[in-house]
Amino acid sequence: MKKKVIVLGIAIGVIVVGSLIKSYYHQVQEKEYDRIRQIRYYANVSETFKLGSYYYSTNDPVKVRYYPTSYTQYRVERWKVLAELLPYIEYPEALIKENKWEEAVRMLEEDIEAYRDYYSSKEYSEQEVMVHPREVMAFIGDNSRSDNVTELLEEANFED
Amino acid sequence: MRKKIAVLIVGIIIVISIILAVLFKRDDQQKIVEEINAMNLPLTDVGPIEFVDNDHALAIFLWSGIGHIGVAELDKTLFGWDISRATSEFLSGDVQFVELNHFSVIQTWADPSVQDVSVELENGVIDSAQILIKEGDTKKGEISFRNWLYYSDTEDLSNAIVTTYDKDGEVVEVIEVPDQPNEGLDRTVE
Repeated sequence: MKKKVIVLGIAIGVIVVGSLIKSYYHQVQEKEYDRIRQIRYYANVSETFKLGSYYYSTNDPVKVRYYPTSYTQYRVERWKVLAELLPYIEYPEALIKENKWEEAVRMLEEDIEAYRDYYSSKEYSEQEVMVHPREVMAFIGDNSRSDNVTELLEEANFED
Repeated sequence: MRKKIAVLIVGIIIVISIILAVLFKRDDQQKIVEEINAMNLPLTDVGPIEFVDNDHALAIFLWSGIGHIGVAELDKTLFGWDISRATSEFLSGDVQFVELNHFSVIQTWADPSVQDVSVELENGVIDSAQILIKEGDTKKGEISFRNWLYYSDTEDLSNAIVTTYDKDGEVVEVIEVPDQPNEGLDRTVE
């Protein structure tokens, strides 16, 4: 009888300790995923605008500061022209002047979402001659131009 | 009898730990590569590592294929190495001039013909920079590095003049280091 109680006690103890360890590792892993996501997001921002990144800390919390390189200017020019030509797309001059690129890019993503809703609300015949929301980032980041983008730029006399 | 079993168990545990320790022993080089890979930047390729002293190291790395080049400064900790500062910029081939935690660093690719690199600081001091080589394993898609690197924890490297020479002592290239490190962290776009 006594033996049974001891065995049961040990079994319960092992289960409790085991699940505690498991949930602890789960938390550690979650935190690591968050850190990786954050770094990937930062990498993506600096990739899109060819920014230099200066990491003050690569551990949690990740601390990074951006600075523009000579390749950043072209991308900014393309952003500016789209802000003039497309509804909902804005150029956050103040944020960019302060090198707050993360916020600026978040804003651009939100603007593209708003523009996407506007685009979706249009008739198919109108959409055919409009710039597709997908093309906004492609044009700013990679200077890729569809016929509609090219036409829009020609009308605005955009030179690069 | 009980004592013997206890001694045996302790003995087995010690032997297993020694075997594990030997099996999983990693040198500083590997630990630094792991630390930089742990930043989890897409497609990281760690290049040559310069051990400044027992507690400090500088590492050159690429990420985004060959899109961005970075320099990391690492401090030795109890169990491994820790990145204290890291910087990366869009790979242009220009000289990279960065100020990290303790060290100012200038570095860039060294042309295969370059054999000697001399650095003249603004205060007139002349020194030579090292050429660091890391052969990449092409099967794993690794890139081979051949970079010259110069660093200092006391001198200002702004406006230094770097001259590279080939094996006959002919000048290959004269490079002017910018007046501000990190491409000017405070620089903004128009």
